[in-house]
Amino acid sequence: MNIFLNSTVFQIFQVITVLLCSPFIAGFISKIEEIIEGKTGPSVFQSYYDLYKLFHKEILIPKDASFIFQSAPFVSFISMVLITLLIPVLTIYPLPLGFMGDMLGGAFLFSLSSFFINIASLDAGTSYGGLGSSRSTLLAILSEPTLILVFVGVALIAKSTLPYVMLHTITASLPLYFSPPHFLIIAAFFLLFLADTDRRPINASTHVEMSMIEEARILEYSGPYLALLKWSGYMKQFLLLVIFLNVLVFPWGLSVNHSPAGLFIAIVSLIVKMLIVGVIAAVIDTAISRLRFFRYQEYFAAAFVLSVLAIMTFQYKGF
Amino acid sequence: MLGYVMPLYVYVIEDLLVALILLSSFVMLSSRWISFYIHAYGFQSFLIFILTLVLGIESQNIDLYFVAFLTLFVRTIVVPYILLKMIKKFSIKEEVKLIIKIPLSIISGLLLTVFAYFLIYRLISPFSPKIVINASSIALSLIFIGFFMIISRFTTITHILGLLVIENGIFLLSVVVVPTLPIIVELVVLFDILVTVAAMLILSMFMKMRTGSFSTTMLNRLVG
Repeated sequence: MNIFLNSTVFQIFQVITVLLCSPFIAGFISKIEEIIEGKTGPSVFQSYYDLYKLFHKEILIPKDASFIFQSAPFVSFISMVLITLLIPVLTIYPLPLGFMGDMLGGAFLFSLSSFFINIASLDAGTSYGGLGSSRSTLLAILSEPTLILVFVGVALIAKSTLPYVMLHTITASLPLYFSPPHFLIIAAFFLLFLADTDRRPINASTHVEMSMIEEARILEYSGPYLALLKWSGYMKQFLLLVIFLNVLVFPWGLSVNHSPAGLFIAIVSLIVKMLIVGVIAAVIDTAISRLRFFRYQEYFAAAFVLSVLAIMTFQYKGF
Repeated sequence: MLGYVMPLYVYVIEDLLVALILLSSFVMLSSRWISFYIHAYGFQSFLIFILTLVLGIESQNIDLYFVAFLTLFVRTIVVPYILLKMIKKFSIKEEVKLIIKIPLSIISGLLLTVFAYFLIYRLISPFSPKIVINASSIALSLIFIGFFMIISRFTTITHILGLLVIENGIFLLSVVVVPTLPIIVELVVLFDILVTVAAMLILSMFMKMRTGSFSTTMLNRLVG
């Protein structure tokens, strides 16, 4: 018996997958890190427990905070859900809402969420908020050129900025898959991924005020608001991994038709791919020491070089 | 036409190898430790060995085999070994002294690479396939980056390494553009390297005895 689902069902499952699996991936990576450090570590489902606990606490709002403080968690969360609709999470063919925006639209939504968290942390009026937002703005400024050039490289290879087209282009031609521009773009994007999800060598997301960036921005939040922000942080990591895996590195295993079996295989293969990359990210996170704040530019210069070389080598590739 | 006509998979391998060679020169530009620098040079020479071997196997050219294994011996084993031993013997300070800071030197290396692409494109684009343009621009950019390393670093060891990167670039250019070069030319280049390294090491030992350091900043005292 062949059951064929509607593409709307796939669209809904896409959002549900991202919402439900993202805390698991975050918990898994932190578990692996703890194991590498020789500790037992919290459960893989610790992120779910955290979210549950936070949703059952009361909301405390600083006295001087305005509406921006209250709207930032929602803007952040909703923009992550919107990005989910744009990228190929489960299917190799574009879903109805996939044409709402291209990769630049996705990048715009990522920076919109980051911008709202920044101004909300300034809005509360504490010194830690200012510190965190200024540091994260500096990081955004340093990583932006690389991000733009990665998009230019993808647009050159695929002749389009839609992620679905890139996926089809590199699966269609095997020489292109093994060509240096593709690998260089992957490397540049992986460096950006490490920087954007708060991993070393950029920073450990600790609560030590000397080094905190991400934590300093959301220091004033509590209760459900904090839960939403944490959840959108997990989703951001998940979405970056989805773009990394399903658009750039390994765009196989996605559903090719509307069948339930395809849906199941797509979800399972996505999770397996993510666990593999999660192990790699955890190893990097524990093996490398943190860079000094004034040496961040070296890291981003390396990423920039990779993305420019991708464009240069694409122009004169041998096939 | 310059270069050989080869099947597609060789082009893909060649593309990947030259990109890795260029990346290893950027690794050298961004490293702070001399031993790391030397290992990156060894890795780069090893990649050049593989490239030469692949071209030799594909074109069934005995000369290229010979050149490839000489490259492996001289550039990948002997020269890094001598340099590492030198460092150990004189207990040279590990940190590279830079005139230009690392991010700026990486970006300058990038500009030099883009310039090399531009030059090669203007020079040989009408009568060569695209793969040769790519590989030879990377070879030319190795030459430029080697010069830049000599300019922007102080110690004599790093000067030697800059010179060796230039040699690597010249060798890569000759292998990619004119693979049918007589073997005697390649042999001359390889002996050139050995003699250069030996002579420069002796010179820098004398400098160490006279001035007490390997830094070339002291040399301006010699101005009469």
